[in-house]
Amino acid sequence: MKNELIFKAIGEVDDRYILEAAPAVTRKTQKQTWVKWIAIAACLALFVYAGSKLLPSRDIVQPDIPPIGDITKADNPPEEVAMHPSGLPMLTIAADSGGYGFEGFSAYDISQLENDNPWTVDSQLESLPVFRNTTQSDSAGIPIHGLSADEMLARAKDAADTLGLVIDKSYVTEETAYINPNEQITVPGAAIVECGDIEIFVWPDGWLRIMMKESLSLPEQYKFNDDLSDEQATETLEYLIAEYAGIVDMKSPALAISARYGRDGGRSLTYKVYEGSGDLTEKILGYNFNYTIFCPDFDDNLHIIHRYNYDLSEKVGDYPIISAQQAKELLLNGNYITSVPYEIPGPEYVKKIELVYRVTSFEEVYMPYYLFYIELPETELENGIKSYGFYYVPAIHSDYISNMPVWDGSFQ
Amino acid sequence: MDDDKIVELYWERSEDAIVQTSKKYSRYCHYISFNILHNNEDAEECVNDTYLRAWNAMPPRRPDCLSTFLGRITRNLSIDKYRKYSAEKRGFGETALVLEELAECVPSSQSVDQAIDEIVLVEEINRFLALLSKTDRLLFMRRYWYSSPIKEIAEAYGMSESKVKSTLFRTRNKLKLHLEKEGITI
Repeated sequence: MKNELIFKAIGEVDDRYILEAAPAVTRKTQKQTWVKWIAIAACLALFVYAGSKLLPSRDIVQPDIPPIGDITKADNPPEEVAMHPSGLPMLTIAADSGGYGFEGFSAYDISQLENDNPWTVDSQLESLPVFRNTTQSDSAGIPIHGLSADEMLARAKDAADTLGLVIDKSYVTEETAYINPNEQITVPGAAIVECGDIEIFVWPDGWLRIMMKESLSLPEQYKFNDDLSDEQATETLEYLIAEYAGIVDMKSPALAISARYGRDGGRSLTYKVYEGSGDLTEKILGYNFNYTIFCPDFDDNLHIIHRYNYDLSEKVGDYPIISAQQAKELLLNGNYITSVPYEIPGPEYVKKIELVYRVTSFEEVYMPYYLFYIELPETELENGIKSYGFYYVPAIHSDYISNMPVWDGSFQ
Repeated sequence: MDDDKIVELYWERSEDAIVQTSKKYSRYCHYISFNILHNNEDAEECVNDTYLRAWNAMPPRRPDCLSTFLGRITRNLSIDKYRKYSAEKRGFGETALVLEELAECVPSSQSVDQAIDEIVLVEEINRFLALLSKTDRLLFMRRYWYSSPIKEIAEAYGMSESKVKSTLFRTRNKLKLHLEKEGITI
């Protein structure tokens, strides 16, 4: 079909022509195909156990939960928050503002997705802290609250000083954020410090990125790529931690090297180090909120350093948590959230469980979840690569959650 | 969230990458796919697949422009699905009309002396677009990249539908002549 060839070729024209003609795509009320929250007014909810399929149609989505980004601290005064009899505020699980995600990892076998999460199924924990997200974003992901322009710039300059770099140029970008659908404000976007071939970025949520335009080579004895053995990768990461100690800046750095696999079977390694000091709870917080990741380029050189240190200054409280076994029962009962467009085929497809904090910009609070890796037979490829979809069950006891998720079983 | 940061999330293998991509570009990608497929469920599937492709592509890719990077993936996936539609003789909307119109751009085979691959064709279309007036180029791209309906294009640019049609007709003729002049055959 010759006309199809032209149609296809037009698809590959210069970006500028595509951008120039981009339509102003308006917000349409589209059918939500995967968000499956039950909305229960927080003021009514002292105890909600979502053990039955309460949501008759997937088209009814969170009418009582305002879209993230419309909520600001000022709009959400503490006196409106429902309280549990224990005195702890009831927690509301963040509702995503829409979209069609599909979260999960691929591998030939689940054993390849081992990581160094300090939580294990044998961990004995009765409670975990919950924190307010101090950098909540608007619906486009622009942080409304967070570090000021001066604070971001100071952090970026500190990082440059730590690395002994000479600053050529420094500035702060601006973004437009919507604090509600009709009101927009200008907020700092990112602080950028340029030091020769190295650029340092700091964003309002405290994320610091050091990017080498010309990657830095490591001493010859260290390899740095996606194909290393555990021992080799450990040696390299230990070298990087020592070399960049001022950036890593941790009392007790703990290594967390993990592998990922692409759909083509290609392997990639994540070189992560987290604050491993303190008891198990502190280690879990370090793993989820206070860590550094080193990224190689394709020639065993260091390309990027990411430094994350989320603001946990606003603790909501210590909340009782359920066991992994109880979470699995909730999972199989449908009390989970996921972006995966498949139902859980059966308990035998539950391949792995972890405890994680969901740290996304749309969370109102950072709270722990049990993360289940579910094998998805629908997506297995001929090359043997399997997909493991992510299904989350709140780890906090459901007594404390005002909108416990219920999956109504009606995807597509 | 700015695109640079979203791309970093992919490189860092953060699950937030897909969340943020979806927030920012789901409507854009859905628009592209829906215009080709005219079916919400299939368009959503293509948008989902777009995220998966993006996840698998970054790293190693670091696109200069995330929106067009995603848009191209969505468009290609949607075209593939459209082909399946055609094979199954399922109903379809704007794409059939768009393709019909583009058939007029195919250079006549008598006038050509050069075989062509897609890269050369893309380069020639780029050159052709650079020669057009901005308005003609915008209309052409809206119709043949985004597969937007004529009525919508007319509303977007404050023109009558007949004006849009006649402009597109002239532009298609110009493209045909341009390709013939450059000795392109398909």
